[in-house]
Amino acid sequence: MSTRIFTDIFIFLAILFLPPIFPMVIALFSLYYYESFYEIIFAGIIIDALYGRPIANLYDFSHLMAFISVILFISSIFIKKRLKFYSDK
Amino acid sequence: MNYLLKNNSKPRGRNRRMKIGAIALGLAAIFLVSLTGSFKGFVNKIALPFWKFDGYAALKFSDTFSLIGSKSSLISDNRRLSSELDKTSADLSVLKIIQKENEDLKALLGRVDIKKNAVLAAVLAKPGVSPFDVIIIDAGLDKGVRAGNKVFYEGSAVIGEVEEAREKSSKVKMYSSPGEKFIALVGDKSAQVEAEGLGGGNFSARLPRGVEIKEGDAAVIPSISVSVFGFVRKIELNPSDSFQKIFFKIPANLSELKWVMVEI
Repeated sequence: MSTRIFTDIFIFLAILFLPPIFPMVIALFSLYYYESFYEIIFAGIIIDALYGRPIANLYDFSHLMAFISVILFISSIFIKKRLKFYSDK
Repeated sequence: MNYLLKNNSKPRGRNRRMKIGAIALGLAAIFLVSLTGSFKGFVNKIALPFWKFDGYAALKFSDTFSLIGSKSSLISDNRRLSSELDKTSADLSVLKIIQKENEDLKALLGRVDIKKNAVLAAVLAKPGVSPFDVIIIDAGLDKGVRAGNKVFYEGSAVIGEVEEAREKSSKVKMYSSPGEKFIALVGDKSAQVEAEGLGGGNFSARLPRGVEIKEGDAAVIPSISVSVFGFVRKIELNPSDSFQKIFFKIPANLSELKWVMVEI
């Protein structure tokens, strides 16, 4: 549990101070490591709240990171069920 | 004795659907809350002290490390001097434009240039950290900053405009954000082009081959006051194309951006 809280804090700080690739990699790893890492959705929402803006190339859609994080979270549920080596964890 | 297992597929399916429905409802609720301005303001309020501390710590540590290690200090000095040189050459080009404009304006008697106020703001988050080519500055509604205010680097280079002004901070949309389009005047003859942002302080524009453009030419805002978007860095000519593609860049390194001016 404490590891998970530490990961959450680290992701939050990475969103604030590090290039976008860092929180993305940590979140993806956590998505695999923890059973249901729903914090990834909150991370996406926080990124959109802090930095998000309408993207001209995407019909002014302004919640791209939240959308991507929801897709990743939902697909992780289905992918994990089909991964043979995941059940060994 | 063997017994047939009880067929309970229907309730399980119903439970599953209910679960999925509840998750979808929860996600929709989260999305709706995240759309509100007050939520964005709340998240920003939490982030603000961290960003301010980062700026403070960076300042303190840079002072401490300047005393240790001659090699690293030499490298940083070199970087600083080359950025200063870039700035000086950019200023020189702006000076030429201003001289020309001054001559033009002298011809128009009675024309008064309106001077506006500007607020100095520290950059809290820059494009290296923010994923959407935006910068966060520490001046907000409390300093008189409003959405739509233009943001300048070193006084003359316009780099973007305020998109969201919050109580103590603002989000600045860069003109160079991918997909952003605007009108600019390029070269000595002030050829009007539609420039498109490419991200990272870069722009591209297409104009007929006949128009004379050379590297180093300025791209300015079509306005009475001289505000530079950037300087032409590359010109692409294709023999089969009747147009030329020009690339220009803002006279600032976005990853080293520390201060900006907001015209209020």
